[in-house]
Amino acid sequence: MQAMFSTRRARIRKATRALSREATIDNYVALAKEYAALNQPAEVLEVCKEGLELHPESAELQRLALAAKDLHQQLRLDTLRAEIEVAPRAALYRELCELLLEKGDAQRALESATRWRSQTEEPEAVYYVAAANAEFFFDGRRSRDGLLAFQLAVQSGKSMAKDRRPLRLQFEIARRCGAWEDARKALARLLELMPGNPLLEARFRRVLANCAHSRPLAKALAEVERSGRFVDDEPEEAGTFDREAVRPLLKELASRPEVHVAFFLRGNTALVQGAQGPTADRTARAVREILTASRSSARRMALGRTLEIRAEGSFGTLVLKPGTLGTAAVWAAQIPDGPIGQLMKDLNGENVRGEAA
Amino acid sequence: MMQEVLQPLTLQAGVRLAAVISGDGVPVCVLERSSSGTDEFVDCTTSSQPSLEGQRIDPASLVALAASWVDDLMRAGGQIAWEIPKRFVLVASQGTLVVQQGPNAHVMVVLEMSAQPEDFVLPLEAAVERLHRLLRDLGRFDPDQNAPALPRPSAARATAVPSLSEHAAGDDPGRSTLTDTTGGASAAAGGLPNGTTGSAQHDTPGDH
Repeated sequence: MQAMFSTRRARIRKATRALSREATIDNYVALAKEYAALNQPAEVLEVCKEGLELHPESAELQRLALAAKDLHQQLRLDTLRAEIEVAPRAALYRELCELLLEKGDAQRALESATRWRSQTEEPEAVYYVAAANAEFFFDGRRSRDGLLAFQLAVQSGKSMAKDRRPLRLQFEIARRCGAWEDARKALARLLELMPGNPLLEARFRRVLANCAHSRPLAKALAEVERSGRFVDDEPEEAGTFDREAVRPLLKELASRPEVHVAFFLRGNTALVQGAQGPTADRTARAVREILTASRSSARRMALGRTLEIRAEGSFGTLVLKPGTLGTAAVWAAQIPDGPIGQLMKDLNGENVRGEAA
Repeated sequence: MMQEVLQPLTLQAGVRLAAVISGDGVPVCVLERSSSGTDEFVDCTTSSQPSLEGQRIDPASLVALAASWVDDLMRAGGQIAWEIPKRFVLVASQGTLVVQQGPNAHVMVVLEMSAQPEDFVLPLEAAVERLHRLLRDLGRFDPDQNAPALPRPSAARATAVPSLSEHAAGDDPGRSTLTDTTGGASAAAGGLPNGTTGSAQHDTPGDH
């Protein structure tokens, strides 16, 4: 074991020397990989960060940095959880909740903050419960999550008068659902804490202009849940799409032997391949009803944003995949396999988004 | 007794909640995983409040909403004369819901994002079978009432069991749609939610 470590260290020294001679992507990657082999994610992250400053376009360094960050966070989370079991205190809970929210794990953040709150009743714990609920609202658009997050943010804001975070949270929730009056109040108090901040002042002027058509918070939240959209989201009905770009993909989907009918839905328009006439109309209408009902139910059941809907029976399988460009759906003889899933992702725009990410 | 129907499901990794619900959405038995980090499940059948740490919706509401979702889907499927689906899956960003039709009731599970709904096909079918057996032993199972939801011999399907298609108006669109597909025909259908908006237009096959 000792020999293996000394060999590794020698390889790190060699990689470091190579990097100091020539700061190329390959040399950065080589050094980062040596640290990764020693299970030192913090060092990997440092090397990648330095490399990305010189070579921001490097996909390999970006991938390594992401993997190292994930591992680093996971190790830190494990340490924090273990320390909390032994000696729970605010600083540990704060870091744990921040890390979980940063990782996008709102459920675990909510559980940790709820536990913290039940142990100490600290206002900061209340803020993190609010923040976790706000994440659920931003993702799933369930009005109850939004309302609870806002109310808890107000509650924690009263106890943490000098803290900007509860006010920022109130502002963000109110702004996204169009409750401009509530957004204005939160911004006014933020401006009291940060007088003269040009960004806040510009925002305040914009919000003030919108106050004429402000809605009460509860109503605005209910509207977000009903429509599934925030005020600044592009309305799906108004969104146009290139039918000529969609048709070849839809045709390819319908030509698969196991697919009976393929659909593409966006707003009030449905393209159907594999059925025609009244049958196409009726089937498209049914598929749209299934989509609408499922989206709304997923929100109300606190499951979040709908990613896939499936109904299986003696008729085969109906699969709907909502995406950024619209919803791809197939009625197939069996559960669609990999290539069909890929085609559906190409259709609904999820592949494009995945590649960009 | 109902817990025995669900118990094996709770042993599967990734299950957050397992429930038996009556067709009209009344929770018969609801088991929810405790948030204490252990694999214990709490019987929440009579709970009307989110009682667990970090819980965001009370189990009674969740199962009622799930039953309502299944109803909505069956109603939508009814207009295209499909037989009643036996399994429904809703994959969402914060969890997955799988509902399996059973005799006079549904068996449902809510899964973590990491769990694959495909892994629950057999466990859910087994749970429905256990429910089936339990109701038969209790003398409460009327097979005629649940015919479309249960496996049947294929020879009997055509003659003995009425399907939704018999109640729907007109011909069997399932068959005609299959014919259309092989013919390579296509259509652009205007979506008509509630029959009020949008416009219907049909392309000729020559357009493609």
